[in-house]
Amino acid sequence: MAKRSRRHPRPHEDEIFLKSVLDNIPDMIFVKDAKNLRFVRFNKAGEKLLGHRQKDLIGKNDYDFFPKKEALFFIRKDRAVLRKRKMVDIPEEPIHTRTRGIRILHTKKIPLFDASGKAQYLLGISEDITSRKNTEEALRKSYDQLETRVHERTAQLSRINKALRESEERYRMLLSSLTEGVVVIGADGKILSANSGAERIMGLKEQQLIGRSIYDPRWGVLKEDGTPSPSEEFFTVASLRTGKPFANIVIGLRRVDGELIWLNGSTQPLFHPGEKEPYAIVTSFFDVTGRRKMQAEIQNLNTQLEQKVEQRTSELKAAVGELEAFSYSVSHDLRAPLRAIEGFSGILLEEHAESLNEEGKRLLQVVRKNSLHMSQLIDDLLSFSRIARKDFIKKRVPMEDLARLVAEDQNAASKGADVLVGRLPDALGDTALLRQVWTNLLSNAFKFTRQNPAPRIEIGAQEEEKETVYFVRDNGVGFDMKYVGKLFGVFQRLHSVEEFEGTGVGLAIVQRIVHKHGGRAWAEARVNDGATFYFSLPKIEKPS
Amino acid sequence: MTLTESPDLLIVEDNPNDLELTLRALRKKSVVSGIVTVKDGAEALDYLFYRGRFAKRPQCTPKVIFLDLKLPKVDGMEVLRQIRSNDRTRTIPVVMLTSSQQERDVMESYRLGVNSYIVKPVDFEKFAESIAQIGLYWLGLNHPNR
Repeated sequence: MAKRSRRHPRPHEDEIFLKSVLDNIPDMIFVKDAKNLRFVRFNKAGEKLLGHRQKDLIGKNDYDFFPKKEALFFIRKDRAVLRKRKMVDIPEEPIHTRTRGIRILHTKKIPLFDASGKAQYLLGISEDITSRKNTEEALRKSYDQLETRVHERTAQLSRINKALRESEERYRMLLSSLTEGVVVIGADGKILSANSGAERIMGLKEQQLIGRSIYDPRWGVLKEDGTPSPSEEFFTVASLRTGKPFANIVIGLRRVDGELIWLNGSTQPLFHPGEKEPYAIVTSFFDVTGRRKMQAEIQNLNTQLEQKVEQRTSELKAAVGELEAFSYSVSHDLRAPLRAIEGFSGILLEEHAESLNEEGKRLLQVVRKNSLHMSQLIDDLLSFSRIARKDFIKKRVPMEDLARLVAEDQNAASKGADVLVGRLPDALGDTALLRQVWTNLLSNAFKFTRQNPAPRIEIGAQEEEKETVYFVRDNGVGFDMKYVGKLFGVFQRLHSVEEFEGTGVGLAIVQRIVHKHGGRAWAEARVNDGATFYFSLPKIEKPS
Repeated sequence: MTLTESPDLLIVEDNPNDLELTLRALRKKSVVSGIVTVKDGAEALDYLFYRGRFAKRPQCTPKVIFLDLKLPKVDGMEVLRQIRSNDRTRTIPVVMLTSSQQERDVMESYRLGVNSYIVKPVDFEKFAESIAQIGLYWLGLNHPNR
């Protein structure tokens, strides 16, 4: 071109026009001469891209500006274009620029021919696709990343899915193996799912249960007391409305076959995060019909039992009443004829003594003595039976004083025995009854030591863990331990009336009183070697 | 039954043996002169309130009443109740003379206002002694509120 411009000193108008066109094209445009592949033309976009001024480029070749390997690549392409005589499209080629580093170009190289058809120039049009390329690369990278992530997420999802399926399967197994019924109820009150337990209890298949509403009147809900339950009191309805769980609510329901069943149910509302109203509730229940029946039966039996107890009690009361009437009779009516026998025998002896011989008088005395003895028997028997019914006034009883008092009374009546009273702890009981115990035991002691020239009676006590054992020991005639079992029986005597008077009620009374106080009575003795009578009473609990 | 113009003592007793023994005891100790006896509670009330066959008897009140508890028709407790709830008889001393030692009977008698409660002893000597003492006390020593 320099040559040509030298030929035409004044730039041709066409030349100005062409330069102006070329300089306004945003792609790099260059022209090399076909022979040496030296640059003969460069537009502004080319200058800008490569960072070289046009005048520095013209007349130079690729080796002058680019690394050898890169320059070689360009030149090979150039030669190929010229040889093949047709355009070559290089979609991507890197190029080292002076100021902007490596850029990527999309280049079209076109051979230009002269009039004879000989390749004269090589035209290059290069578009800088670096930024597009970068964008594309970034896009591709992000696409790859996305793909990887999608892949990973898919795998993850599939794992989760599998785990979910397994877990669901497990829960399904669990639910179906439960004897409890479990149904899930949606916010609209309709059953969403039901397990086999629910099918069995309700007598409906899951497909029949699903969609049925808890408001459905066919349930025929009863409250625990058996009265109809208003819909709003039905605990599943309440749970759904309030979002509160319920536990162990007993209700009655009609099965599809009309049979009334009783259920114990609980609910658990399910919430989506952040929501206040449940989207569903899980209701679990078990059949308590059998249990309820049994409870009713037990209650029925209890009522019957109570009635029986009441009946027996009133029978017993009647019996006690009869017994009282009986003892009243005994006391009153039996004594009257005795009094007559005794009284009239006495009158006979007194007023008609002269008409009786000695034997007659003796026989009448026997009659009198026996009527008096019988009177004593009646009195003792009555006092024995009275103990059982006597009102019991429990208070602290000073046993030592009581025993001493009774002993002194008794000793005054007898010929005077040597009486020793030890230390006796107080007892809790009825003073009158405990006095009776001492009276009976001590009168026995005095009675059975009567034949001893030096009668000796010892009163004492020993404290055990929970009870106090009181005793009366004498040096009297004693008794054979063989008969100890008879000792505390009513009317049981171990001695003849000739030897020792008595009715055989005294020790029976002692035992009855001691038992009434929660204690025991027993005895030890040897024939002609004295006897010891013991009785125990619960210890007074020390105030803590 | 003995009827006198002004009896010292009214005995209410259904058992003829007991009655005889009582009368003998009183006679033996020569405690009283005028004694009226009736056989049951109904007769006792008739006597005291001038009813039935006693409707026309002269107006007079015994100084003391010996009352058995267990009586035919109307029992001793009821007789006592009626004596104590009538102004004309309220102040007559009443002595329960009975075989019953039942605490319930003793308590009830005192609650209704009996003056003495005597359990008849089987032993005649003791019986006679008790009767005589009671008679002496209420007829001889006690000053009736009249």
